[in-house]
Amino acid sequence: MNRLAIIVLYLVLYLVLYLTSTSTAAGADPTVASSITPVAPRPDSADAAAQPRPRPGEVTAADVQDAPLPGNESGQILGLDRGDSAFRIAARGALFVPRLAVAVALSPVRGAFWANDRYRLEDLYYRWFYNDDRTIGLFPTGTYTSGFGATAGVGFIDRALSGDHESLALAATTGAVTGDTYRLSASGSFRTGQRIAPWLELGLEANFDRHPADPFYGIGNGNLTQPADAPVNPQIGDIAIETRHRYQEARAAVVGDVRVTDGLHVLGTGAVTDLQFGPIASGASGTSIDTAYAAPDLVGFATGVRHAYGELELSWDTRRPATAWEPRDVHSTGLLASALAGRVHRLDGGADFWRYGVELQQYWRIATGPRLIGVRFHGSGVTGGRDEVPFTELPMLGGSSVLRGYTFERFRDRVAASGSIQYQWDLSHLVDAYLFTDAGRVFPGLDQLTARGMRVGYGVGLEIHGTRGFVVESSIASSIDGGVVLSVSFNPILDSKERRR
Amino acid sequence: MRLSCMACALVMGCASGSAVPEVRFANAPVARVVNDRLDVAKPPESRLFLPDTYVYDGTIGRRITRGLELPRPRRALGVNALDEVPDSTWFTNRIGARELTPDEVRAGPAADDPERHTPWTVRSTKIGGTSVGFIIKDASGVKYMIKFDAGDAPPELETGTHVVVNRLLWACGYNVPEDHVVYLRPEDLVLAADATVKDLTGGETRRLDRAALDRALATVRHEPDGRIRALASRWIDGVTLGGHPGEGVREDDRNDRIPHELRRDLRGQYPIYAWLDAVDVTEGQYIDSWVADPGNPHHHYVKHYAIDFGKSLGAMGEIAFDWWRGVYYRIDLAAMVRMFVTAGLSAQPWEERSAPRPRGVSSLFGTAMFDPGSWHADSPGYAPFLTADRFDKFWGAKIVARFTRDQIHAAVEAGRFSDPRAVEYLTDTLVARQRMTAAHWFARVDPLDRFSIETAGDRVELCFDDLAIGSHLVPSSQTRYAITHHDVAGRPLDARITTAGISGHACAELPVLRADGGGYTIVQISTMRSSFAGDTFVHVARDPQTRVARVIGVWRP
Repeated sequence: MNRLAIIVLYLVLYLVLYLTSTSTAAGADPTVASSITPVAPRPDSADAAAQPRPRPGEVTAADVQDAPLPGNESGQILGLDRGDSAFRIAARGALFVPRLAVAVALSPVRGAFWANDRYRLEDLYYRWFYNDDRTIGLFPTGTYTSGFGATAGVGFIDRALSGDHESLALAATTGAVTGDTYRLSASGSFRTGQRIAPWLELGLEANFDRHPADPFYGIGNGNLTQPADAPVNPQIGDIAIETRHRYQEARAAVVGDVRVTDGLHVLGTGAVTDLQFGPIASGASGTSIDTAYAAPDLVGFATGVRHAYGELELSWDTRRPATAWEPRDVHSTGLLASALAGRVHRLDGGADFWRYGVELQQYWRIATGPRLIGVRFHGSGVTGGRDEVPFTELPMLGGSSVLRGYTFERFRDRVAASGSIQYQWDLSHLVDAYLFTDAGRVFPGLDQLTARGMRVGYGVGLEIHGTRGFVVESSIASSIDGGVVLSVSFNPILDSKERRR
Repeated sequence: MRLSCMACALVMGCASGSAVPEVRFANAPVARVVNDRLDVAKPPESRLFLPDTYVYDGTIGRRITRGLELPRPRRALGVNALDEVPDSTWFTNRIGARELTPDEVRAGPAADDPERHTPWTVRSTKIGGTSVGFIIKDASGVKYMIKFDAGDAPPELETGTHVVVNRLLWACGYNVPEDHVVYLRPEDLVLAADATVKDLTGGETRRLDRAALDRALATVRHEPDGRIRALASRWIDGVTLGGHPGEGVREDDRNDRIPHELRRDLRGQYPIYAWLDAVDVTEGQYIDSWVADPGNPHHHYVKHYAIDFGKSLGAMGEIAFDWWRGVYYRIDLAAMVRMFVTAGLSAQPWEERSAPRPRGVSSLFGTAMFDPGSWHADSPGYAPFLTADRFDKFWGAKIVARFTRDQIHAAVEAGRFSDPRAVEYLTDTLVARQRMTAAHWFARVDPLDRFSIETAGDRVELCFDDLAIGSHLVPSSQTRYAITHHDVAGRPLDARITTAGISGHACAELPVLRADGGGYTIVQISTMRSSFAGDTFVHVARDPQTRVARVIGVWRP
């Protein structure tokens, strides 16, 4: 955790300083310098030394040969500056080691800036891995997750297949770099952009993911407890024990986005998904699901799940910055109203069920900056019973998006609902802060909705923007149940989607 | 007689609040120029400006380590006995030192007009940056860099601003390139046979062909008549070495003897840059050049330039849609903590920043929220601005205050704005900000200046100008000066009270200077008005040759 914190600190420092320092568009010419590129000495300045037009009235060395040298011009024969006092010299000596320690501690950050500046690493990266227009790239990828180690992979993207914003993206990563062979991810997507029509985009996407230790806290709104002597049936009661399980997902989907008007979209998804589960992968930390729960009682745990899914979503989105002077990724005004319904058809003989959901967001700009208030309601549910719906398909709360203050996927059940209110204000043009309170819970069914047992989280966060948009946001949150949840997200939290279905 | 003695006692009582500082000056002519043109046989090492590292150092790294070094506050160096900056390769006294006509200000450093020497041969694209620009040679063989107002940026803003500030900084005394707003047609550009595309660091990547040139020109703003407005900046002579370091000196330049963080001409830029809202202040906005002496081509030294002013006058904020510019650093950790703690409930000064927008003018350039004392550049990295004290800022404010409206108007006209309202708005705003700058800094240092000895018959007087009165910031009727004469040891001799004329000019009779020690006398002038009280110590002695009294030094405590 400490290593992760240090890495995150460095990363955030680097991102803040790097992305916020690349603002001016002026060139690096010696006559017109830039704050974004190195000012190189002129390569052909000898050529410039022989300019033909003389300058009248210029001072020559002969004119000033009798003048005092710089530093001797003050005329003072007795000054006030007595140099450093003994106390200052002593204090400076005492601070030598701390100063050295600070310099050493910060040297990796400075080294990163220096290396990027000196060798133009960003340019080098694009030169090595992208075409000149930076629309086609074949590039390395990597991640590091505390407790899980590193992954390495490769990605491919083509953002302009034939000039109508079509895109093709492929990526693959593996955890084998640190010996975790189970961690694996491969994905591909294709979007038609505006090729078919400006108002219609179709896409294909497929992914294969293996997660060695996804969280499982049982089903229901129960308080965390210690494992019992014998595994308990997760279908019954609300017994919450912190466990982990292995997760594998293979999915192929067709997606479509019809822009009816500027803010109104109809989105359709058709997907085929194969899910496999198991005890945590060897080497992963945490309590395995099968030691605390009777995991085979979970739908699909033993046999896996295969299903087809069709979903239709209607979305009205007018969220936007109120003026061009506000960061382009900050929604300071507008409304998001989205409703979806989808049908899960089990291909493995299991029971079919419906999925439904609603997302409401409203932003009010109360002052320039912007300073704004945002409210959000998120609800989702399934029609099948606990004994019909695979446990990973149940609506979930917790994490960095819904019901902040609780850990990722802390609660799951047939119905989930959460509300949020957030006040956001600007700390600079590049950084916003926000205070939030989230409240919500999961329910066994729509007929059992109640305000009792509500879970409440609260916290504070920072959101950093670069000149090109959102960079990163980080929050620290807690809840009425205690604990501290630190999150870092490289996607806007309130724009995040649930895991693909 | 009794009243006179009482007044004398009263004055000495008033003046006794500040003892005579220990500073003493040589009885010698005041240095008006320094010799920093000793031969530097080979070019000093060039410095690469690393912008991200610079921002990091200024914001975090160097800021912390500098604090732990416990530097003591130090008065600026590079000033003569009158607390002025002598001429050097860094600075040339222009406005105030001699009469500058509006035409001179309008022309600035420019010796010629490149528009008169078309066609221009394109040698390469410009180095670095994301905007379109080229290196060209005009028909007379002079090399320029040309660049344009970006297609998605406000028209005329950057090009016009660049030249206006270029002219004003030149008049202030700084070395600047010869910059011009020019209009050209695509056919004015002829491609050199070996024209190349250059990368960010000046490396050549590929040949530049006509199609690529035309494609680039198609992305910049065209006038309705097909012409293209551009900034032409004459290539600085000599071997360019990159910008000067903000701290320390160039070790391999024997003329560079004063640590830059202590140079008055650099520290004193603060109020000037604040006046101009020139927020883009980094080491990359300066350039040194190893030049041949005009009188001896085998003799070389380093000359120091300020460059790149297009983001001034509110243009940086306008282009970046960032109204914080000029009020805070871009990454202002202290301000961010303050904003965080106050949860955005405190009003911010930029909230009311807005202005009329004639074509070529930033909506952020105004007077309503301008605070000359708390203005911020984009980055806290430039050390001379961090070490500048009120005396440096007073010096810079004096320069700002010297401009007449006509001179400012002429500088603005050099920006060739198509809308006459832009010229008038910018002139009015600069005049108003000039007044605010003077009002701020003239209230923080005793604003007496231009000391001279005047003789009327047998009567010898020490005369001076009160800049606050001369700038019409305070009425003369509210001001009194307690004049106390001290001998070289600081012992009071006599005292009197005088007043200023309506223009701020005041004189006080000097006592007969003693015969010994050149008659070294220290005149303490204590300025007293309801809004200010402060002292200036003027050191006077008899010229050994002529036996005439002269001012040999000024000390502002």
